[in-house]
Amino acid sequence: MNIELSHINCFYGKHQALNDVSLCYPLGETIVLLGQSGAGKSSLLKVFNLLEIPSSGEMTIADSHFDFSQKISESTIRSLRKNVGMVFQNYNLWPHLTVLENLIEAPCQVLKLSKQEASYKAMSILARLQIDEMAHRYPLHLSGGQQQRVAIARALMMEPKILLFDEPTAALDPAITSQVAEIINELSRTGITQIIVTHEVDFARKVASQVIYMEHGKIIEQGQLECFAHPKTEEFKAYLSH
Amino acid sequence: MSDNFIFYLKIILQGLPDTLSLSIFGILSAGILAIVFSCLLSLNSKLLTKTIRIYIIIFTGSPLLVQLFLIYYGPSQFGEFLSKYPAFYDFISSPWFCAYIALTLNSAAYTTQIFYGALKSIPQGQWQACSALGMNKRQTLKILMPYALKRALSTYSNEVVFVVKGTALASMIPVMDLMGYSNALNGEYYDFSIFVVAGLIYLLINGILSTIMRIIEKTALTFEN
Repeated sequence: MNIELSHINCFYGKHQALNDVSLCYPLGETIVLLGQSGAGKSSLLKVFNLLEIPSSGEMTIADSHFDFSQKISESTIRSLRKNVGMVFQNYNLWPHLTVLENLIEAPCQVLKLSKQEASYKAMSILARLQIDEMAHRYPLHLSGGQQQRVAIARALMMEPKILLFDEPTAALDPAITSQVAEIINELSRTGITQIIVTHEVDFARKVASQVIYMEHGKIIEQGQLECFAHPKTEEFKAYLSH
Repeated sequence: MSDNFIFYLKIILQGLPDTLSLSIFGILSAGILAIVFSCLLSLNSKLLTKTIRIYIIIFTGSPLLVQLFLIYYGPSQFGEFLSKYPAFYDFISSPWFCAYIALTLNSAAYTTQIFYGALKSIPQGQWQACSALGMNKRQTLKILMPYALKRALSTYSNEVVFVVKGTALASMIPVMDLMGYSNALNGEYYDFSIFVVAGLIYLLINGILSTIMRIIEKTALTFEN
């Protein structure tokens, strides 16, 4: 089973955020999207769960196929999102709900789990991420790193096949960044596919199995971990060197 | 002087049940209506939005007294038709019920603006978080509406006080509330201290109400501090 994009174009008004992007990866990889801000990495990330709907192109994720020349119904978008979770840059936790409530809300409403089942599952995920003692606190009372882990836990509650991370370390200090890297590495051992947007090269090195480098809405270079040491294009070499 | 004061107080307080019942029922039904209208507005349906917008313009743009008179005197224009259903006609033409309807519709218009404003001011990321978890609009609102309501509480408590003060106008159609009894007393004794008494009672009610609202707000917003 693959993730495949072919000839994706995406516009914000007249500005073209993604320009003929095609890629294909087997499930199970940890793919890092690198590039300067404005390169289109976040737009590309949001295509995978259709928070961003391209104006043309096709996408296949696991067994669902989308052709963006046709209108895509809300219900097919929602069913895709059950399989593709997302962790946002500023976490977007619901501040008026406790950590536990943040976790069980979607499984109860969308997957129709009972409150008891969902809570049980939530506590085991929180324990795995070592924040189970925070279960009954509110997000705003937690540190940035803890909020990040709650956000990861909330996405994991839906048991997604694919997990998207938008700049997961942008607001975190270096010590916490390496904790996030450990979590991502641990998750990739469970076989989940992860796609991560970042502009921190060190962080990318720690987690990536595949690397994509983007500029101006185009993919400039793709490769495996070796391309950090031996970049094939001048652009990526220049990006790595500063 | 103090004898008079207590004499007036005893009579005016007979209007307390009407003032309180109008306030409480008005506030509750306006609140519920406003939540419904806010949800409908957030569906972004053109027709619904336009209808609700026109309703809001009418009820926030015209005086409450005019609305009261229209609702109270309006149906009697169709008396011939309505008198075929006497029980229904009696019910909708009772002053209390008309005042209740007018207050509800008037306050719901203002409250919708407060609630929908709060809903709109929720950061985009919160909505995206719901979408990204596969939620539909109804499920999303189920999470975000309580958040909006909690954030709107401090503005909303002003509206609650406005409704209580608005009930005083109901004496014009004529509901025998605090103001109704005060007017009647004034007709008889022509003494300004009657309205001092009435004013103090309203002040006391609103003081208590504001305190209650502040306590609710504090409990509802524990997540912030």
